[in-house]
Amino acid sequence: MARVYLENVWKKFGNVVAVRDATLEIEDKEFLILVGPSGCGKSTTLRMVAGLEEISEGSIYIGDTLVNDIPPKDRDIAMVFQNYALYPHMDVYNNMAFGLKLRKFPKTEIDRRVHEAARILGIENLLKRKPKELSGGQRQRVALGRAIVREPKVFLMDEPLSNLDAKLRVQMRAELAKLHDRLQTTIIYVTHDQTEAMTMGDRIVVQKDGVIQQVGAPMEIYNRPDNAFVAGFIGSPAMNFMDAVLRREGDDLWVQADGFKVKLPPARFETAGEYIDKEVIFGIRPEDILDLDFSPDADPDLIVTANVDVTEPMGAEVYVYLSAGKESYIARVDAHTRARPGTTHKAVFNTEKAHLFCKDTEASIR
Amino acid sequence: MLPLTWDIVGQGIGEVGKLIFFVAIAIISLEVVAYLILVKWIKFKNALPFMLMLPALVGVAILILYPFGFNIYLAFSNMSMYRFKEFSVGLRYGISNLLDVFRVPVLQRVTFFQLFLRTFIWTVINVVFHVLGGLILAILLNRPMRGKGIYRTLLVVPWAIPQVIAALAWKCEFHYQYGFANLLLEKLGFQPVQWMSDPFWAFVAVIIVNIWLGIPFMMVTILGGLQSISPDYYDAAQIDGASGWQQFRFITLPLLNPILTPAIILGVIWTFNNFNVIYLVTGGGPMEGTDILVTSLYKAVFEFYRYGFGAAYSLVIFLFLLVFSVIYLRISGGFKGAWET
Ligand SMILES: Nc1ncnc2c1ncn2[C@@H]1O[C@H](COP(=O)(O)OP(=O)(O)OP(=O)(O)O)[C@@H](O)[C@H]1O
Ligand SMILES: [Mg+2]
Repeated sequence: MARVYLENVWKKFGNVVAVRDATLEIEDKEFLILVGPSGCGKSTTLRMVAGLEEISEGSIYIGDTLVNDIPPKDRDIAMVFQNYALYPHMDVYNNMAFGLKLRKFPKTEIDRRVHEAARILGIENLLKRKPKELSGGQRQRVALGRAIVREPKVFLMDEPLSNLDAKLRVQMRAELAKLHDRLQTTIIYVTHDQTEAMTMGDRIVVQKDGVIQQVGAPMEIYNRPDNAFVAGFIGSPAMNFMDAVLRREGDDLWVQADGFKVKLPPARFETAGEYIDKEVIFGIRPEDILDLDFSPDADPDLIVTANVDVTEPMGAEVYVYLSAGKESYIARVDAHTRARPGTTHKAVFNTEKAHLFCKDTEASIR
Repeated sequence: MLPLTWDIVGQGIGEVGKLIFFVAIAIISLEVVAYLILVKWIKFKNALPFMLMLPALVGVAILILYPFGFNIYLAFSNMSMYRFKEFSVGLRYGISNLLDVFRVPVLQRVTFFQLFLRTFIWTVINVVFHVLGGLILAILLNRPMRGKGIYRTLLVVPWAIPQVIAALAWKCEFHYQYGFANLLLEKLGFQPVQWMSDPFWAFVAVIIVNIWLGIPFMMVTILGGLQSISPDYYDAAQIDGASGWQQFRFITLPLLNPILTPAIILGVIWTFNNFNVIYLVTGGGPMEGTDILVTSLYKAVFEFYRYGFGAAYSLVIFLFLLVFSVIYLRISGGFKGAWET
């Protein structure tokens, strides 16, 4: 059993609060992603689980053991560091074998595990090299190997792919997912890359300024963000946010922003009723802004005429930068769109999928 | 004494200016000649690096190579107090000087072999304590604590004081009646020690002084080395299960090696050659009981006026150091960085 449980955990560095009252349960064999912008306390959280950083307040359990006062070496965890931290004076083999040697494993067993891990990671031919003689991607795999050979209860990974080129990153992402299937261990994986977060984990934890914002499965977080920060952080390109006012006209609920006005589905009355005639933040994802050319049957109340500022062809699709009034927003449409910079274009806001956030608290209105 | 007038100041500045001027002229003409030869004449591809190094090379040649050559020349002469002006040079004299080093007492009573053994003990004890003391202090200082700057400054003091002053001050502290060493011993209930008249205790005294003097260099050097080791390695080692001692043994020491190696070589050479401390504290006495090779060399030349013999003697000492350095560089992998293969 390798459940990891954080209970009201705080970390303070002098006056800086790096982690604020974090409570989090990571299940056995779960692949949990910790995501958030730079400096939000992801590494600190991970290092507290590892035992490298003292806990200011609260408790951490691994399995059923309270580990607050247990040194890292007795926690049965392995960690992949943000900058690898491979021992520069040892070759790849010894980097991977070091932990096992210290734990007095028999030589044959060490040899078996190191070669096994090297085979999985495709670094068998590098075993005699020093870290200095490896590329970034190779180093990263050695760092992973060093963790794998230990066969720990919990893996802690701190942005292990952040230094790789795009192609290798995609490849390693898949490798890691496979590895997780194979090793069947708990993994806590830190990243600030929302694509990694969306594609790799069973669940995502979004952190900001040391505070956990939301915990949930990737699609749940994507579709039902708890607040504007989570909504904006997860998804690429990011969700569009516009200042708007809710209006009631007859039986219909409308969003009035500077430069456009669209109708909301009637179901919104229940959740947003109290915000009528108040300012809210209107959020809509780029893929929920459609090109009228491709949706000719759209409800006319959802159509917005906007100026096309820039188009960014991405291959299969185009990011169209639109503006209406003082608001500007991005639409993600099919590559065949006729939108051209400098012209006006008609877009359809799929308000079924739109989000509303409270202007003051930024909490989701739903 | 002359009062310091503007005239004298002006004169002084003029002298210095003249010197700088001539050095500049010399360097410029040197470079011009080098340019004409290297670039214009033989069209050497790497001319620039050589031209940049040339002034330094010439300086080294004048300050080191020439005296060294002259020393060898003297070693093959019979120059002494009696033959100062009209000495002769020849292989015969060289061989006899060299044999004399091992055959006759270097001074009045101590022989080369006694001196060599004593120098060896002196060097080993000193360097071991320098490195151990420096290492321990550096490790203590490398931890987060309050008042670190103050400790560091205080600990560097022995290094900052001119050796001559420190040695003379220590000499007083070993005075039989008033020195702090004996006062301390008495306070602790021991018998006072004849520091300056018993050869054994005199040797202990100079060793204590030199250890005190040598620790700061090692401490600062090792502290620099420790600070250059990324804390990430210790994090990784902790996760790998290393205890405090194992972290020191498998992370700190190997990563310190590229710093320790040259520091130890320098330490050995400096201690082996340390003239100041012994000469100033005990003068090599009592009864030549604390002389080491270099102090006896100095005395042989400047108190016994045996120039030819002294030159040969110095060559022997030089050879020992050379052999030591080469062997040590071989064994320890030399100045290579720890992360090179
Ligand atoms: N040793 C420390 N002393 C003081 N403050 C620290 C220390 N370590 C981290 N912090 C602060 O704690 C906060 C969280 O840092 P942390 O390293 O956990 O961020 P992160 O989410 O991992 O960021 P990144 O994505 O850049 O790695 C930051 O504001 C940082 O400045
Ligand atoms: Mg980090």
